[in-house]
Amino acid sequence: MVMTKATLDTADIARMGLERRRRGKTILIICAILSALGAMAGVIFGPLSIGPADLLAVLGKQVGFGDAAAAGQVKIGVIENIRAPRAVLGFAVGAALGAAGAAMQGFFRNPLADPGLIGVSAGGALTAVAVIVLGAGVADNFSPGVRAFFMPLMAFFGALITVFGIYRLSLFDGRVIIATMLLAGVAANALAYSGIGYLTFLADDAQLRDLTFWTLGSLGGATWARVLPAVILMVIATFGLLALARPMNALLLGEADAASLGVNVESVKRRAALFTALGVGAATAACGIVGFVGLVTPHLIRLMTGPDHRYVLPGSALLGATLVLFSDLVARLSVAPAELPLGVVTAALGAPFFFWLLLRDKRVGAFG
Amino acid sequence: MTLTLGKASVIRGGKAILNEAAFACAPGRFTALCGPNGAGKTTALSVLSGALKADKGRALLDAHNVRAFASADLARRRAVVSQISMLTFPFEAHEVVAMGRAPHFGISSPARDQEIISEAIQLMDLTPLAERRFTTLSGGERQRVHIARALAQVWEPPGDNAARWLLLDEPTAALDLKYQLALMRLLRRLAGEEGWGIVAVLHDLHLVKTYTDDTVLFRDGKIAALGETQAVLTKESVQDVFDLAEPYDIG
Repeated sequence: MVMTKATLDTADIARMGLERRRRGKTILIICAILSALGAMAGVIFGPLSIGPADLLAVLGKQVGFGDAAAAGQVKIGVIENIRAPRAVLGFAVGAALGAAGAAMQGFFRNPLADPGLIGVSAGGALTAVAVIVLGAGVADNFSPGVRAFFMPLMAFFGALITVFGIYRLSLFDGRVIIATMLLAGVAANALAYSGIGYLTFLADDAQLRDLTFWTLGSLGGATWARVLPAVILMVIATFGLLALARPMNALLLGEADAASLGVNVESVKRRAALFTALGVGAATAACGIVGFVGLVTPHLIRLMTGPDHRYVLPGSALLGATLVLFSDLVARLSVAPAELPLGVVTAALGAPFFFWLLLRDKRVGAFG
Repeated sequence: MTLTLGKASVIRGGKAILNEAAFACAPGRFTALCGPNGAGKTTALSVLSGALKADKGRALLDAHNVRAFASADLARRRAVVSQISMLTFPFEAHEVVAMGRAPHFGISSPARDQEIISEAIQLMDLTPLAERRFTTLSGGERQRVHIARALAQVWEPPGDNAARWLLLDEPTAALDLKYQLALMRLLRRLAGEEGWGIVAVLHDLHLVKTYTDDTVLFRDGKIAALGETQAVLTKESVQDVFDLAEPYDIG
């Protein structure tokens, strides 16, 4: 608009866009490879040593060729019934939490939003624990197929109520107030944990064993029958969030600007909250509260690809899966034959990262 | 072919911040919305853009209720530059401008989008800043990026060749003198030569008098005067609307 000679042409814009896309795709491929390695490592490493050849033999058996007998019946059993469901659950939990974290940060337009920090996981855990302690009689009335979905769906409702509650509380004049959001999260966490504590007090001995892993998170005890319903819900949630990438980019401009770009803001926000709650609820129902995955992974991806959700959402899902699978490996191997809770490992990695974020953003004054 | 506010009222906290305001903007003309702080200018612009639902009355684009348009269809007819930017994520400037093409996704080709993005960037003199992160730009630079995004959004006429509209809320507030003048010249040209309808909330009455065709003067949520700028902006009307002690000569 001024008289200076502008030297930018279409080729420059094409190049800038191409560079960003190429970088994004490279990062996605690397994350996909890492998550596949994580799943394989989860199957291979453990008290019973299993070699890559055994793994191949079992995979070969699934598709109908190869000599499965070479691996031996015990190893086949361990792979098929213990480690494989655990790896599948770990992958799904990590992907759901990573994508949910990225979606929450976009939804709140705030890079500190995390399902664990703002109480969404705890809200889901509270309703799931309520099912264990109070709902045993109710769940018995359902057929086994329905019962398998009962707890993840209850956790979904608990998570959903928390998402909307925190959003309503932290919204002032069309903007999310960061301090209010985090403080509302502190209050929501406190309330949910007090509820969980009360229910633990009411629980009998058998229920207590079920409850111990809730507050710290664990992939232990994964069987196909327990894992599959939650995994189905987490897969639906993760893909539901991935489909929101484009409108969520516009949403980062602010709700009014997104609306003027033709984005149906209410519908996008509703879907983002629903799928986030579904993914976090199902993950929490399956393995308790696993914190910080949703905080850490979107940040790492964003540092590498920029904030475009077309890369941040799938990248966070894949890196989340990687993080959970390798954390679970640490949890299983570090104190073998006993097991650390998974949530302890992810918190030990995630909490220092959170401190680093606060220090970095304090320096650049990013928190207004 | 007009953008009309039909006796629109917006009530907040029991008070009418917009009170039965009615006026029409024509394509090919540059319309300024002026008046004291809190007089209802931004509210009127929000109702016009479809962002805000009036409690009474409504905004009409070519005789259709603005809020009845499919949101993507409306986005190809009018772009909005709002007063405050909420973007805090580190997109590069060219990516923000590219977001203006979002309502054309699946309709326009990527090659055509890139042409439009590069032209919008040049028009706003953003070439050296195209790969800078939005979050590292100054207020005025951010404002130019958002204007470029809005230009890219309505760069071409909609499918039925209806007029394009650009609604701006205090677009010059963060700009230095050079870019204030350049923007006003550009808006003047888009209206006069390209037939766009331009509606802008403006505070600088010198700019209004020099560059705009029509002016709507607001006071206390009501319209105090409207018509051609030269006729509306008189010493007396400005003194009256802005509650000044003596007549004010804009020059």
